[in-house]
Amino acid sequence: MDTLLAAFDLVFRAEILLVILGATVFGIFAGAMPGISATVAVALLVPITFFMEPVAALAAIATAVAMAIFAGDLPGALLRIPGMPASAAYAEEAHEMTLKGKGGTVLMTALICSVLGGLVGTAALAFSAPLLADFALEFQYYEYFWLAVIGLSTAALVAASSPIKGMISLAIGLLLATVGLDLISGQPRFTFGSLPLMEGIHFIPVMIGIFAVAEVFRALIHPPRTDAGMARVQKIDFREAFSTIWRYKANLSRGSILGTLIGALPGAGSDIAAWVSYGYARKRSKTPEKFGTGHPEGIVAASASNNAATSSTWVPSLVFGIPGDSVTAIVIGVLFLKGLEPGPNVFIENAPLVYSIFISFFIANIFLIPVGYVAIRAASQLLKVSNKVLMPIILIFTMVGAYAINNSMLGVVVALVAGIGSFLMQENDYPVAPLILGMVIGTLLEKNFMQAMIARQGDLTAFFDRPIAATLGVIAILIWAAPMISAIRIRRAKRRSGPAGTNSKTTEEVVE
Amino acid sequence: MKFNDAIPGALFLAIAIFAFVHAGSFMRFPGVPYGPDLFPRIIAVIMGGGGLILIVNGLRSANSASWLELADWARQWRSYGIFFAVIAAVLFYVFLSGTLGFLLTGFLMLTGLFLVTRGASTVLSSAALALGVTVLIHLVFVEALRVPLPFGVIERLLV
Repeated sequence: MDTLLAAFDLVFRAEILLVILGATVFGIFAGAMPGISATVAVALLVPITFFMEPVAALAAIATAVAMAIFAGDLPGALLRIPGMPASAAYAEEAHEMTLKGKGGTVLMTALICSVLGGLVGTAALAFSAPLLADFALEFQYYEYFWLAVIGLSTAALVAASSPIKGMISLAIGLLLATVGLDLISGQPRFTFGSLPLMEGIHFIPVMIGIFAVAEVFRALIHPPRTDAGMARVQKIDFREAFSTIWRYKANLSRGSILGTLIGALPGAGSDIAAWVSYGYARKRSKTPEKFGTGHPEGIVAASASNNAATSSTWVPSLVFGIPGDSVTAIVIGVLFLKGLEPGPNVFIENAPLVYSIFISFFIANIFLIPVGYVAIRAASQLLKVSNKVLMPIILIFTMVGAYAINNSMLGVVVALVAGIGSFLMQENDYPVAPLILGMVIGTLLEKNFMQAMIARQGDLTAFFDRPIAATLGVIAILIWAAPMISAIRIRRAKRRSGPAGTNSKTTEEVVE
Repeated sequence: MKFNDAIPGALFLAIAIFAFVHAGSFMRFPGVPYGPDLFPRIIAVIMGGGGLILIVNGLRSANSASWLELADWARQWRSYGIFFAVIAAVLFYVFLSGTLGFLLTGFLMLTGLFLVTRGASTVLSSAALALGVTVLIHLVFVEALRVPLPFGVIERLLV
């Protein structure tokens, strides 16, 4: 109780509430721009949070993400361009409703569902995280090693479209993490005699480059898809919005719960939560044939679900220090910068701080109602901002941000190189999230691995000695085995169906 | 701009081999069986393995697919113009902001980039936009966050 009161004192200060309000407006704007995903929004925000105290920094990030996930619905409904991957599941449906003249109403419905889903996810986070942390206190480096392996593997192998490309992206991140002085032996690695490299490659300029600079290239180079001028001011029918939500309250709660559970899994975030909830809503619906024709049932479930997932995805990050997606990977990086090592000990040593994050999530969700309402009203103007104007502004912002971390131009150069690399990777279907995850967790993974190896003189069975470690180890091995087994099975099936086509197929396609 | 898998595959294999060999030069403590080279070498093996699979895939499909597949945007010269304009803008900032200062360099860089993205006929509005954005960033970072952005010509007049 004292902790909770202390947390309230931390959050309810004018400057923190101002930061949350600022992050709300920023998040809505960023989310509504099709070029800026939640990750890019956070990448742009981090250099500013760098100069804030921990509570303000984390509150700003948490708020901006929650806002951006809702705001992605705006261009989805009005232009059929989802502003976020998380809105993609129901952008088509919401657009159909806009064509029927119900654009404002469906957005209002989505807004309220987002808030309710976000509150459910936050409640789950606030109750489950301290309990899990208690449990995690007994973990040693074996358990942490396996948790890190599971987190990285799901991101690289399961979430990516091609497991091989995901794995390579992860390997690049892990190699980048080894640059600098080795934590255990103190030896320089991959520094090539350069003094600045001794400190290692700072993750913030790399992250800014990978997400924001690459997005500048992509948005400017790829031709525009739809004319933004088509968005019209929408009428909002509150009565209909509320009655829709009431009618589909079962969908609302199913979506919130599914989103919370999916968000807490490593490697699965709000976009997967939205797809699954939308699909499940259709499956359980009495009128599945109406889906896709401008029917709000699935939208209620999915828009609650993706916001619930944004909160619960913090569970593995805060409790174990293992991020579930690229946003929480950035959060982990920010925590380290603030001198806080995420993991169960944070809940003991810095409990008020952890609770202040939960409270910020609640406040952010409450702020979402008025700001979201204004955004729906202003959406048609908001969507007129052209990439041709926006992207150069983002570029100079990234440069100032990459510079501000160390007050060094090296950061700007690193961000540029990372941006070009990320752009080329994405053009060739390489996922970039595993790279940033590898870079953030790489040090932790190596530290636990090396300590375990040295403690037991390289006895690999030690990794399976303890029951929890053994369970986690088996899960990790299954994650690695699954793509291989499915590749072999598909190849066998192909061989049986006809030998002619087998040789011209690449393993790549077979794996997929 | 899609490359045949064999090309990035070869690149990753080369990086992996280099990392593996170079890791051999890391100093070890006598008596400790596992040195700072172990972890990077494991990663290098994973990366090299991935690179090899990509090379095999790429060579298998080399008969049916081309080595470099150009998306629609990659057939237009304008795309390359934008690509290099963005890089040039960043390098311009990196090399000149030390002497010119943030305000002037940022303004020039943004104006130039706006002219590329919005067209040469928008000089006045582009310059006005660039001025507004540069001043805003100066206010946020220098005045509010106290980041010492590069000091130069205009900053000297302001002090």
